Amino acid sequence: MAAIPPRPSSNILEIFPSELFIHILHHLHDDKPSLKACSLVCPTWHALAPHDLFSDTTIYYNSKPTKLVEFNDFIQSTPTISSHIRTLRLAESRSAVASELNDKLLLSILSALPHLDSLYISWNSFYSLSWNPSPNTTQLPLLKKLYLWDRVRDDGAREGYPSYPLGFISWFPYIQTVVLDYPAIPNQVHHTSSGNLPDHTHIVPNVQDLHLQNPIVTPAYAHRMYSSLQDGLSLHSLKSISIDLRSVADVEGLEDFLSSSNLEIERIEIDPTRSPVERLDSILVAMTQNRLHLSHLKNLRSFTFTLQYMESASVQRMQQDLLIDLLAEIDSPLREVHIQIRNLPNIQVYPRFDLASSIDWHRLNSVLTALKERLLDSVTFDIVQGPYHWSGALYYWQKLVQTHLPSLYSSGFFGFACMKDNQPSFWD
Amino acid sequence: MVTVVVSDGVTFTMEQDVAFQCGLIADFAGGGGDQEEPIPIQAVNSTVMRKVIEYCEHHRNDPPQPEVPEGTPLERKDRRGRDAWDKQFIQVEQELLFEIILAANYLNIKPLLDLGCSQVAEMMKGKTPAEIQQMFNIVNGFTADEEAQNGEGEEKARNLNS
Repeated sequence: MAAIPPRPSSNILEIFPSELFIHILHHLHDDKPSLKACSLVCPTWHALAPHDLFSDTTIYYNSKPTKLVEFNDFIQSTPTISSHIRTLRLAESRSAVASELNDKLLLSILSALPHLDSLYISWNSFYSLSWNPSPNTTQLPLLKKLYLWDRVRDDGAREGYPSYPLGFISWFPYIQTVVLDYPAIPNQVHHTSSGNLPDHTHIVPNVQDLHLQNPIVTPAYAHRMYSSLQDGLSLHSLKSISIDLRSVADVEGLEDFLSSSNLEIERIEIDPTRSPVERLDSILVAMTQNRLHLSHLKNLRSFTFTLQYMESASVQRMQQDLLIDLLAEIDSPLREVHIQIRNLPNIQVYPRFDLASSIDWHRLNSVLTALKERLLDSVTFDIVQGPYHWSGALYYWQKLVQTHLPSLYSSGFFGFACMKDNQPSFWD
Repeated sequence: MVTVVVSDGVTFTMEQDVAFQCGLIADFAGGGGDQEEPIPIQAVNSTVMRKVIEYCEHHRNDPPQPEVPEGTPLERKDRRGRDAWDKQFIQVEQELLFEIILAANYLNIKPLLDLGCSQVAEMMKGKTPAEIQQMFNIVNGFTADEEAQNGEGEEKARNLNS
């Protein structure tokens, strides 16, 4: 029998074992001021709070020129705190002109964070990094996730815009997840002024999860981006890819990428709805006319697609048909499908959105039934809560599915959930 | 059916799907059929056990929670979340709340443990260290040196955040 806990008294310190305090403090993970207050309550809590207090640390710099240097000094002198940092976000202020971040400073910071597994670098900072191969004497953490986030907005597909240096691979050869937001990647990855990437045959390619958010929109860039990724990252280990399609060029780039490479991808997420509204129809046409070659992905286990409802009934219909086409094309032992639905309209206010008749339910039913017979376990509908979220959307959609796909519905095949809009964000 | 006897001698009989939400009882019963002998639960009294059973009965039809890796943020772990019933259920006197948490920990009922701990965390939100000390009857045990160090650390953190 488990040990009998002590009888309660009015003093929480005498009642709870320390693992329960850790559990309680963990619930305050996102509330740093309260965590800080808890750490100053008593010595016991002071010793327990640092993990939640510092595990996810953000430094806004450039509001004061030496802030990163001060942060470096701080973590070098307090190993008991720095050992708790798992995620570090370096966020440059928007008004910054020049970044104080450089290779030497970043190496010094990283070497003081032995348990760091996620690094986020925003704004222009990564352009000031050369990612020159680190000295052998520097012990870097075994980073698992790197997130490079730019704020270059759409339609700025500029040939001359600075490129993401891929040299980070030489620092983090075992990195598993790479998230590139607004990626612009140079053609000559081995010889860029900022890259200095070692011959990729000498690196250990471990990237398993690649997210390309808001790609650049000109054909030349899209083509270069995908081919450079393939060359530079040597994506032999890639298992999961998540891509926003914001232009026809992105669609073509993705098609080339999927068809020309020998990928063992198990999970793919495609979101065409990040594009400007007026461009969505051309993207959908491109996706419809040019196959995405999902049938090439023989190991595909999980497929996620995003729909966005909007004024145009024809665009709405095109998205729905495209989704069914893509599902029909999949030729792998698929296990799960996630369909994310944005801006589902309130049909009481906008009755013209006649979803009951605009969706080809008969075909959807036969495609899903065929996939289910093969291996498919579940289809999850995620109603995305955005700024114009309709609170009845989830219930409405569930009823719609129940009515039109009754047999699959009653077998417990469908899942329904609400999720927050996962707009690309530095603070995801 | 499963029968338990608690610290003040009261006996409770529950259906299996209610009882087996308690990991400890499920382990005792070995996952088999009806348990003839009452299972002794000496660390829980009848008042707390009634609350525990009320919780387990309400959640008897919940789907099993998926295993999540260690280190996953809590908001992603708890897919069920705190519904209105849970919020109402856990609005109890502080002493009873502590006993429910201890019972959930002892009986190995993770969702109830999460619910109780999140309620304690809610109570601490936005409070100063002094207010928390008062609320939970905690004596400030810092030495003068430690107090000074805390002040210094505060100063450094303020500078980094300014």
